[in-house]
Amino acid sequence: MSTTPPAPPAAEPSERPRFLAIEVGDWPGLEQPVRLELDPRTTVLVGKNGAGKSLLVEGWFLAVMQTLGLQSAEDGPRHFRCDLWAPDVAPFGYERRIDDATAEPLAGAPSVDNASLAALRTRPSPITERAFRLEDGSELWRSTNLRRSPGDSVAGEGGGLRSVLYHGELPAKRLEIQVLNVHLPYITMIAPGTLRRRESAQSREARRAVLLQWNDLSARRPADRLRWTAVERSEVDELGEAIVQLSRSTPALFQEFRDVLAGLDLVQELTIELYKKDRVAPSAEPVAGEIAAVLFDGANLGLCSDGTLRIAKIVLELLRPGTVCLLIEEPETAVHPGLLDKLLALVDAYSTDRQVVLSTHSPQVVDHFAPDQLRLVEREQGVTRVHSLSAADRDLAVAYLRDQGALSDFVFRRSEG
Amino acid sequence: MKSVRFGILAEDATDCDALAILVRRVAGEATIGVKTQSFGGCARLRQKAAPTMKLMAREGCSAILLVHDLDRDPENGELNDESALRKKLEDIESPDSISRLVCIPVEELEAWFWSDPGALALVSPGAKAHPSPHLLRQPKEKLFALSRGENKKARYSTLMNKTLASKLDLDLCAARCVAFRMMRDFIRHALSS
Repeated sequence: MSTTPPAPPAAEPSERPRFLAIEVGDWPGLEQPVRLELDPRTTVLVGKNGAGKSLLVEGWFLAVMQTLGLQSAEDGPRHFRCDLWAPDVAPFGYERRIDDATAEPLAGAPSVDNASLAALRTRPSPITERAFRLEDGSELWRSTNLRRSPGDSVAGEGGGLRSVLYHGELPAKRLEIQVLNVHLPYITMIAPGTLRRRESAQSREARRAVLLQWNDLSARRPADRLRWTAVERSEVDELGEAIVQLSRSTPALFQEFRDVLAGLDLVQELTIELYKKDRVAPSAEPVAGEIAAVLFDGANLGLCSDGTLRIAKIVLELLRPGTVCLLIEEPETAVHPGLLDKLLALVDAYSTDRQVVLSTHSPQVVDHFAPDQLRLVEREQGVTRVHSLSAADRDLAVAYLRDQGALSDFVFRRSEG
Repeated sequence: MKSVRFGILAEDATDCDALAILVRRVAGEATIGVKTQSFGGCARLRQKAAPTMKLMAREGCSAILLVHDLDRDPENGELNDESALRKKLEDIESPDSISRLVCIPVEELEAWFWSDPGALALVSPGAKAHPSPHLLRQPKEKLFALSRGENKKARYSTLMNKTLASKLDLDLCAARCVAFRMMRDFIRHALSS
């Protein structure tokens, strides 16, 4: 006899740790801090060209890379803040600010010449990081460091969040710091455009097969360095690497990846073939000297279409269990409308376990989501501002939808003024 | 049995894929002609239904399914008025040469899958069906939740609807879902008349 369905076994999206908002500023193009409030599942950024959607997404990603020590301070925003929610802790924020070392002239430097500019660039600049409760602003942790040279990462000198995360300093025991630890390193961005177009002009001219080499580096390096690496370096090669690593490290997830590509009617047969030197020599376990190739329906990954590669990349990142937030710029690029529908259906499914942020110009993408998930990005007098539909606009949108209108028509018409 | 080519208009591509399978299964012929068109949302479906039905008629379709979810009012969470929606859809102009059914699954087509424990087992083994799927709120979200196990992943996505449609117990679904029953009867009638 049938009964009502069982209670869902996993945490609801609104109950899992997540970003509430981020703020990026003090960066060319985004001089004023720009704040983005996030939906628990999928947030869709819509705005005109030049409004600042890409700057915001890239700024967010670069700021995180800076914080983790993977990016120099010159290549990203000097102000970054994120607000987080997690069970069992009060909502809190993390903020990082790099003060401008060049704001005041050097003592004894009468004019700006090359020498004084060089001195200005190498002057230590203070980096302040702190975590605080949102409710009352009370500080949970603070760290101030000096960045010694322009090439230094933000957290280059220790003591910052990176040291806390990676070296287990005392504040790491704080639950809030642990939440940061499982959030900041697991943000992924998929940049606009196709993978191949982002390569150099030379490699763009011809498609080429992607080949991966098994590197036996165990003699001088840790065992975990044993891995497949691409013979050449490009984003397509990196995709190939990621697929092969997935097949080796997490077979169940690899099978899920294959199933999803087949469900999209994109790739019915995904195989990984191993070759030894000049002849085919399939084997169960890779050995030094072997070459691997990823084949989509018999075609080498590197020879597949731009759209196929881009979708494979998005799907791979959506599936990764560790990803807590996936930033996708223009998911519609190089994707057939029918396939885009299915890709958005995947975003629906996987956003139950991770936040997804999309920036788009596509009416189809806008129509797929609810008015509450949209964020309008506008730029007036050189200042970018992000906001949700106001209550009045939401009422208008709902009425418009009831009158057979489409959400995208409403939103894009509104942005025309 | 008459040779009929069916046309399906639905909100999105995954709905179309599942409906095409269901039409073929009800018809009992895997090779029966089915043309589909998705619109990426209900608004475009309503806007483009008339020219699409004309086009499908020219392409040889003689029976057309216009499938539109019965959504909830975002303000109060109540289901919209089905009879008003049906009238609105039935008022859309269509060629005289075709027979047409306006099919309105309650909330989402995914509610149909909740009628059959066999189909649900593909999402989560041992899952229990619902005797009145039209009473379920957010059936698609509930399928997401059902498929999330200890690894916290959502294995179910609407891409799986094709698979679920191919395994769905048609008689059980017809007994529990009025919209599906109407669609089944329409297909049978189109094939016999």
